[in-house]
Amino acid sequence: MEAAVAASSLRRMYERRRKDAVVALDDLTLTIAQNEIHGLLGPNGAGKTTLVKILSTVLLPTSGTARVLGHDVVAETKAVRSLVGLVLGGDRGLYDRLTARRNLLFWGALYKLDSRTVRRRADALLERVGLAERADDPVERFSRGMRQRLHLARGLLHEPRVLFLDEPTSGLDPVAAVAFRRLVLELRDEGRTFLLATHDMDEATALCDRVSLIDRGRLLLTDDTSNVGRILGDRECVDFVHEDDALARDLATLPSVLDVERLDDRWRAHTADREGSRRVLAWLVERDVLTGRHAQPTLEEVYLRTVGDRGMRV
Amino acid sequence: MIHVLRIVRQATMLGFAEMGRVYTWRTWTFGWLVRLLCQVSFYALLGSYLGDPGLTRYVLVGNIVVLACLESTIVVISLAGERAQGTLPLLAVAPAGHLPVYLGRGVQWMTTGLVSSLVAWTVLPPLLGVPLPWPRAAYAIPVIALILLSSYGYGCALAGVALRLRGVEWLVLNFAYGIVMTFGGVNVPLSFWPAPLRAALEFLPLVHGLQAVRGILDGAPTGHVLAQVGLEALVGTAWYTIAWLSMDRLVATGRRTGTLDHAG
Repeated sequence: MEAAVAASSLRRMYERRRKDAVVALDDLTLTIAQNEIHGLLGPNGAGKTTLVKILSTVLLPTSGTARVLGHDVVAETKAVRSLVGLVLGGDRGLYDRLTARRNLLFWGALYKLDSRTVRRRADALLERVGLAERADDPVERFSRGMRQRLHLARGLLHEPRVLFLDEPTSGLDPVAAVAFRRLVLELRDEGRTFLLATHDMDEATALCDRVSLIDRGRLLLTDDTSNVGRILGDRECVDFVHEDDALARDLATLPSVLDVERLDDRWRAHTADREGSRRVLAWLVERDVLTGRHAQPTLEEVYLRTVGDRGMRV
Repeated sequence: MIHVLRIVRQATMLGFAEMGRVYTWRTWTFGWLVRLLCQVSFYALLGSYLGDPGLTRYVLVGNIVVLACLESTIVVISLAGERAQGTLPLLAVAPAGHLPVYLGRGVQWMTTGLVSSLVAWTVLPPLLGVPLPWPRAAYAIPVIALILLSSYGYGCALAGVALRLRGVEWLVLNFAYGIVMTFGGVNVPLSFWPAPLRAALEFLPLVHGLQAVRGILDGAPTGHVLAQVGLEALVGTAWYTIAWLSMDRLVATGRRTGTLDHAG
């Protein structure tokens, strides 16, 4: 089956007056299968939005190629545009003075939908994203979460097969974010493909089949979300809760333990392999510590270890 | 073609909705319209003050007709707003293309321009003691409508500048309108200006339309009037073409340089 997205050696530079050019994407190669939810993770300025813009034809790459469902994003922009939906996060991108319904009718016209079709789809989408009761209210009265849902409805209006979501839940309250994620999963079940640019680790863990980490325009890793914890060198660990620091110090002396670290609410012992974890668990049980459990690094830990030294630099 | 009309219709509704942010019908009527009528009266009364009825009518007619240009060119502000609202990149990648949107985006200003100039056309001349020769004056109304259209193309073309140089939309609007008001034969006859400047003025909207209006009022030969109307239409078409090319290039450049979605 043809890949939903296939980017090869993609590079994007931004020229600046009297300053060195900025490399936003550097030799990025990435393939996303159809019907996949792919998370694109990285700190601010990593190149996530640049990639989304190139794939949705808003931006031209400096070099390299990118294809969406087999169509080149530079040479076949018309074909690509009818196949993709672009959902930008934030408050911008909607007409505040128009009602939610009028916004959709406006964009429906730009997607060459006839009046009857766009009305039917607008009503169905407003219902689906939970805005049916506010359909005739001006968008300027909408909360951030309602705007985000309207953004998604706009992106779905022409029934695209591939959706690019750029920070879609930034600023949403937890309830709205969960509802948003549920909707994305439903849409995936209908056969759509998603590229989700985010730095929300919980969101990526909950939604994505695979994730890619990028930083400074470079792809650092791509793997199944469930496997990504194994990327770290210390693949195995045992988490446990105990008040006594001495116990942790004793544990660190075991040959099978690489090190023991204090997390927010628990201890974590890193081991070299599965056998090492088994020995640690047995050691803990012998000392009546029954809170031990085998664990793997979370996506967030992988992210922080991979790009975490950047702090607030972009 | 049908989808283009549908887009223009949607863009027109958007324009009227946005106009509602600035005006209610009361504030438009008793604020903006009254202000325009005062502006026209001010210039016309200068002619009266100088005791020259011919000059009074010249200035009165020029200032009434230029209202059409003034309001149509406000489309500069509406189009510049696309960047500030973050909708420009979305318009640029829409399958129907972004260009049809601009045709409807400022229709509200053409509508108010038509109403303002018609109210001024019918109310001010008798009030200021310079009655127009009715029913002949009615023939000028379609010409005023043509000036609205050609000025709209002029405004769309200049919106391309406002979209490129962020935060200058009001400067561009006032400059665009100021050029027409000063040099377009509104208060001062074109013959006053040096020949090279006069040649350049041929390319401004309103200039030929206003000459046609004056010709209608003065009972000029139909051929002269129609020639001026034709030139006004030609100038308007040229401005629409410039606007079309300018906007298309704006998007092409924006895709290349990554400047499509920078907030204004």
